[in-house]
Amino acid sequence: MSRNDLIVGIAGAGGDGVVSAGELLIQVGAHEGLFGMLVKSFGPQIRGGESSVRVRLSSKRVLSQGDDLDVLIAFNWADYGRFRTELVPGAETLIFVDEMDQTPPEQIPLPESRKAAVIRVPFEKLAVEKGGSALAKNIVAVGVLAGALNLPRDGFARAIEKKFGRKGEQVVAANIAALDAGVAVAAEHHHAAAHVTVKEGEARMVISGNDAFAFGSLVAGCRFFAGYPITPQSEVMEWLGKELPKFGGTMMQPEDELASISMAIGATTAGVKALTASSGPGISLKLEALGLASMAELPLVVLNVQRVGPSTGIPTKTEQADLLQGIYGTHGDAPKVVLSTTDVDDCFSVAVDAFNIAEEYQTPVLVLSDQAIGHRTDAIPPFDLAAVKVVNRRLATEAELAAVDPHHGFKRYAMTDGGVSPMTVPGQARGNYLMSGLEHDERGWPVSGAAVHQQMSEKRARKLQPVPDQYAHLTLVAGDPKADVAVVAWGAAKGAVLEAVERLKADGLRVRAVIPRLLSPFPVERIERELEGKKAIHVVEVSFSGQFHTYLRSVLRPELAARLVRHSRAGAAPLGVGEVCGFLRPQAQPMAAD
Amino acid sequence: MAHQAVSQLTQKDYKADLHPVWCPGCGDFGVVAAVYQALAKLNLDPDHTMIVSGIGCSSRLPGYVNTYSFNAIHGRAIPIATGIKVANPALTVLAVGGDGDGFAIGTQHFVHAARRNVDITYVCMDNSIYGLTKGHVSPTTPTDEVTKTSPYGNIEEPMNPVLMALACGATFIARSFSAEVKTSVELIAQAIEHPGFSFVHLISPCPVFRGRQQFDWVKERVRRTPEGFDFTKREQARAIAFEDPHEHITLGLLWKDERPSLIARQLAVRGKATAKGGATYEDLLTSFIPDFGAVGAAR
Repeated sequence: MSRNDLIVGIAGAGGDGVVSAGELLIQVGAHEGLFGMLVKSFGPQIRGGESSVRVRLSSKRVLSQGDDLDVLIAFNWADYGRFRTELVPGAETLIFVDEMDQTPPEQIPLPESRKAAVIRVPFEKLAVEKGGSALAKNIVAVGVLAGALNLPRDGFARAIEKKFGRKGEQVVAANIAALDAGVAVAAEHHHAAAHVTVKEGEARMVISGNDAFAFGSLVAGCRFFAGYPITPQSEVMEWLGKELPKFGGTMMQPEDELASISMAIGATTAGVKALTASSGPGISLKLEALGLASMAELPLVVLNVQRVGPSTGIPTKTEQADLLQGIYGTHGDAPKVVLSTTDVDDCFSVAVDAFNIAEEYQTPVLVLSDQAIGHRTDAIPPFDLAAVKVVNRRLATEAELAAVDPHHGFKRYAMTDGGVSPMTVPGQARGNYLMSGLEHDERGWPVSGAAVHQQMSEKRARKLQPVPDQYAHLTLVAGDPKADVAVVAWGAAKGAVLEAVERLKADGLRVRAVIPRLLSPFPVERIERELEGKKAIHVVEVSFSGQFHTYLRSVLRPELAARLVRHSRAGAAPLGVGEVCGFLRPQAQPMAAD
Repeated sequence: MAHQAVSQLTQKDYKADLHPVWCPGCGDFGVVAAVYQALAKLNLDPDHTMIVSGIGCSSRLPGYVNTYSFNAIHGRAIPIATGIKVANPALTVLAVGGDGDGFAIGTQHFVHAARRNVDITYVCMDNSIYGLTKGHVSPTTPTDEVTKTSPYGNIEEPMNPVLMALACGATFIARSFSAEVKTSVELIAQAIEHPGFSFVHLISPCPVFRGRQQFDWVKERVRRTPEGFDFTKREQARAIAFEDPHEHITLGLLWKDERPSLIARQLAVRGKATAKGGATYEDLLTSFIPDFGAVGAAR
């Protein structure tokens, strides 16, 4: 039986070309119209250490990185050992190792039951003989994969031609010979179950979550970025540093996180859409200034590509434990909007939503992405640029400003029904005013009275109330609406949760999934409606203390809150599909006979 | 090129209606008067001028000037001003604040603004005390001075803002004294006109927490740059920067250098980035779609 879905893992030493093999695999898959997901993992060395890739290719949209591998290629067992928990072979997995590896059987980091099945392949020998250099062993490996999994050999050949074309025909021919040597090896080791059928389809785009967020920001009109290098955010600033100047914009890398957000605040004050991005440690430093943007009612987008915390934590691994910091982190009652991305595709569209909300509601918008999304690469349908709608802040018109009483000045923080006041940017005649982090009256003048503070607190909170309804598309639902059991998750947990719901459905079990991407102000009514009548509401998250569970308990009606069941653990490992099924299977009800 | 007002404005036109919270005798009155006069001297359009501050007594100054003003958070005047200038280089941007704001909690921004030569003017009103918090020791408080947080006398060496500016690569460094309004007007106006990062160290005594003796002490020591002083000569500027404040406090333009400003360099980057015709969103989208071209040797 063909699953039209396969998962490949490759591990090796620095210089083995593991990452370029993974990239070749997803690029060719995408070119052939397949969906895909590529996850890279590295050892702790700054450069040149062991590395691994995990590539999933499918004829259907890939939701998660999946569980067991279909094929594993280890260039040696010692380097594979570091990634053994990330690249787990199952009972059917085809396992290849370079025949040069001399690890004694008892030290091979595989389950005893699978050791006998290991296929020894002369990757390096073939690379030297056919490809002219040991460097070509990753191409031999790609050939093995193409052969074992029924992937189109010609597609790889074309990609090799493009990749090595500059180095001359000889290099191209040698690498294609290496590819074919791998294909020949695999002739005897075809995987019976796992292969994808390539259909004539549209090419996919291949993009990482961080690049997608940067691209979405640019398309939303962002023309200023300031940030400080931090894993796993830096790709956002690298991409914008290259692209913003082509569009008349600027990327700056100032002295620290405080300067980064402050410069972004300056840019938006001057009327230019601005972004700053960081990860946990840097976001902690930015929080004071984020409160200033809330107080001064400035449009601003802040991206947190979450990583394992607290403190330095594990910079290259995923966790969802910055949620409560994101929602409540600033001192004082400082309303802001908190959004989340759930996959690479989202990184583009949520970036656009973030800028639109920031502009329309004159508010800081914090977006929680995470390492698992930012660093992974997906093969997905190209973004629909024509569907992007860009919102710009409403500036006071010349006529409105002409009517301003010069003795009282422009009322930047005028009390309005909705709470959003007309704003100006420097350069607008008669529009000047005092913006301030101090509590202020309608003109921006500092005040210390209780009544004005109460009114202004109400204004700042009130203006965000329409966001949940206006951005209703940010709440995702899936699975069976009639199910007794619901699962609620946010952010990167979505993929494994949705795939688990599908897997349970195939087993005749019904579950409803609810995934809010707008986390604050929380779409309480909508979520409560979705959860109405559910006997159990499972909250699945990668946070040791169960921050999302804590949050839901505080915002949902008590009778719904009482039905919340917490499934939370610390991060580093992404949520697995099998793991989520394990939570839900005992609870899910079989489908009714109808 | 700075935007000028259509008609000739006077200092009154720059005075906002908001009433200062400063104490009687505060040096900052002299500074704000100098700011009004400097803006009037250059006839700057108030709607194309922005004054940014952090937190502190002197950081209240933007509210008293009838321009676009921003009284932001402690220590961040310079990066906020930088973001404003980069976003709209047509604006005239000033950052102002005190010694605590600029040389304690915001020191790093001063260092790097000077280094990157961002086209803003920074006026530090130095009273050598935290006045807003009511009398705490600051990074420029003299050694042995008794304050609320140096009850046995300050045991730390005061910072030297002019020397620091010189070390960090500021391209315009001047010093004035709040009581010498004319000098301040002249230097602030020159600073605004300077292309690049300009720093005015403005000694502005605090009669409440440092007492009358601080004012007298400064007044006894201030002097003009000596006859024949050349502010373009590094060694002469260095000599002034190293002078012992117990002997002299030299006022005037102390150092001026020419170096491409941040804005000039950013414009050059845009030129480089668009040299091959720029890009469209569609181009970028296409760059993410694998394209292996025509089939050749691969057949």
